[in-house]
Amino acid sequence: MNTAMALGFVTGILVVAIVCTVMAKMAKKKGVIGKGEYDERQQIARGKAFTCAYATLLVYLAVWMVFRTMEIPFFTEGVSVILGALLSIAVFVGHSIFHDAYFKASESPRTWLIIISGVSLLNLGIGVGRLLRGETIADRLYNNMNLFVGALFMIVLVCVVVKRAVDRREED
Amino acid sequence: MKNLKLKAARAGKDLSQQQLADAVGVSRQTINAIEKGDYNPTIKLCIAICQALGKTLDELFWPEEG
Repeated sequence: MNTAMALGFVTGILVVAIVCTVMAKMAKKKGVIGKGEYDERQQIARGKAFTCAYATLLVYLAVWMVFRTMEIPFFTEGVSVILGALLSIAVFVGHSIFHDAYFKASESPRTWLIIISGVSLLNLGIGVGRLLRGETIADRLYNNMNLFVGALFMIVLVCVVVKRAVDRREED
Repeated sequence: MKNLKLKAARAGKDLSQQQLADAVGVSRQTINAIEKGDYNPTIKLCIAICQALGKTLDELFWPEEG
């Protein structure tokens, strides 16, 4: 990764952090997110989700190290690192959603659905654009982080929608 | 083990799972999990549920003998 790429990467992270902070503050002010606490069952479920996510990350790192030692990496270093984080986040979020522990008891999932859809579509758009322009292979290594981020958020979206459909059938 | 006594007491008060959940400050799914026997609540939550339904701990959470 050269200096320009590193700067671009850092700038990207900063922009995303600022946008997320502003959006979260606005949503909190309007009272659509951040209301209340996770209840006792949700806290236990989230603890289990964190454990699963941590185990996933360790397994991913072990597999990644084996591939690296055998000198058959598929992704650039940046993508490799983010992919591990995304995988463990996916496990945490998926586990939390299916155990009703992702949204707080008093929180509206609708707001999150809109945010998740937006982030997913934005990243998929950028990722697919790069794919079509043929910018995804660098030094014979795959380099398209946006596609993975977009896919992760799409998975989260699907999990929320499926869980809500199951919940509606179960209600009382 | 399903908690049918809780379900009956809630129905007796004409409350939905969501209404009881709101009254005791938990999610609807938590009430559902307690009724299905998938989750053992803490004593704090048991007391809150008893107070919301006007029942004692024995009436709602003590297992039937035999």
